[in-house]
Amino acid sequence: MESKLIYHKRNFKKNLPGYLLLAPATIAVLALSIYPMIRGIFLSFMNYNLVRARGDSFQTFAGLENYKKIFVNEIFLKSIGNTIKWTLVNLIVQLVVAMLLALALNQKLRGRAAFRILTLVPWAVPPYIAVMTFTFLYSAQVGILNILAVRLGVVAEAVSWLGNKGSAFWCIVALSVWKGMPFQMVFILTALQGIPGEVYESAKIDGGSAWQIFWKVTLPIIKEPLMLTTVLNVIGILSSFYPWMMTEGGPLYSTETIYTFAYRQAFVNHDFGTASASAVLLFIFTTILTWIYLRIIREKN
Amino acid sequence: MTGKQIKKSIEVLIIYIFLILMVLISVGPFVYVVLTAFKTQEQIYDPSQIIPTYVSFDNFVKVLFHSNFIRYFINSFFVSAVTTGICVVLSVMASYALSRYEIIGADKIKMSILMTRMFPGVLLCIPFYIIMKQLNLIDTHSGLILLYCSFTLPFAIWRTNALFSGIPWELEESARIDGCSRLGAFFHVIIPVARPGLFVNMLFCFMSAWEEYMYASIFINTPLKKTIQVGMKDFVGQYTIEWGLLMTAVTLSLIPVILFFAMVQNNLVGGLAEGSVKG
Repeated sequence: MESKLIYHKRNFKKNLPGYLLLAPATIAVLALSIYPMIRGIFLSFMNYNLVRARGDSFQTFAGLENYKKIFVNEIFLKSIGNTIKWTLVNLIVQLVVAMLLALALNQKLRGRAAFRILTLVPWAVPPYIAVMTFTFLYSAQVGILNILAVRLGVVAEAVSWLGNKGSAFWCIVALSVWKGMPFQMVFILTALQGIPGEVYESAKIDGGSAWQIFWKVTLPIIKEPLMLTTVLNVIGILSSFYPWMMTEGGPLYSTETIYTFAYRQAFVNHDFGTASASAVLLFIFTTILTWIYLRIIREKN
Repeated sequence: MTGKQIKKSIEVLIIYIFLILMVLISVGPFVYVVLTAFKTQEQIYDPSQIIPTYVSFDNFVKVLFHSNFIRYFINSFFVSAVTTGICVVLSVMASYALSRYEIIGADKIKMSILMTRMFPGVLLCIPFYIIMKQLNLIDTHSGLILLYCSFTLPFAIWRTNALFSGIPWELEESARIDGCSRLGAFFHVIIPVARPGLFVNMLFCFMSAWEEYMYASIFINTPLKKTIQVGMKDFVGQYTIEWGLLMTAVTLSLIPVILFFAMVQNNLVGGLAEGSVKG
């Protein structure tokens, strides 16, 4: 017992420089991420409406009041539905397109490297630049989509795609898929390239069709990295700011997600309490997903 | 040709058509953006000038010399460079400690650092606003740099740690036997081996600060302090958008992005796989 303690003491002394080297980064992470996060959770239980900053109740404990408030807020309720729709559509479309593209790029083709690089371009483009670019493409006056659509006779006259309640959501989905898909694709492609050629050959000899080989051979092998990238992707999609950057949640809140709702409450309506409450709800979702993510990593190691 | 060969070539053809379509979707928008940058105001509104028959450099002159664009570019460069510097120093120190010393709870520390990447930005920016106000850091570049470190630092630590863990102990030990001090061994052995990886890490840090929009739009109010992403909004008026100027600004701001992309595209997966989330 005694000797173990001495060992630990000596070990700690030997590793003291390590602790000192680690300290600045740890303090920075604590101060810049952990502390604000805890403070944000506290805020969700406080009266913190800046519009009523002079009132008596400002900065007092509110209990679950903020949570109650958002659950009777019609915009918030609408944003829950939008968030589910946003997440599912984004995830499924990105996954399917990324999978098809990765499978295509995994073939021995001429110019494969060039195709790979060019399809990766959207990933490198800064989000706001992408938003401006797509806003331009969708524009009713100058957008190429309208010019082409009118010329091909799809629509009689130019449509304001982003100003329209029915189409705005899908326009933003298109941008988000365009921007997020390459990340998925590279991830899947790397996993695919890790599969030795013999695996396919023996499957072919057994007489499997391409479809069967995909479901019975390829998919089970890449299952793990696929789950990993999917979880990461969902977290990213839930925290997406595109709906705000493009249409500020509009028109008529048709593109409002929980994320943009929290932003609106905080920086448009200046109510930090309810903003934090809705952000905390979102955080609970991402925490569950993170937990799954960490479990997958741990199993991998 | 046998039936089998025909089937095979049809398959290849379909794959090519699919790939070409994907390339058009990926790159096509920018072709149109660049074309627009070279158009006059009239050409932009003229559907017969989709591909301009004559080019004009007016937009470039206006954006470069008669707007705040260059200023925003410098602001963004400054903020991103300082963020990168801080992150590289702190993450190299931390990663050396995590990979070369016996730290109690090292795995837990690493996992918690990774966890912080998953916090929704909007949850953090509300308390950030209050904290920044208390510290008088609203509307300052130093404040913005701190905020940027909050998401680039965890990422940098995680990547650098993976990098250092991959460098064998023996390299360092043999240098020590040859009479190098621990610090000497670090600078003469570890750093040269890790240099390419560290460079890519720096690029990633730089780019994630460079492309950030939300924090910059909340915390910077003074026009001359804006970053390039938020500065783009100058060309978006209340009722009209100056498309020619906006697309020129987009074109110009894509130049560093292209450089970055050319340098990292082979290192993508390593970086992305190790605990990054693009928000």
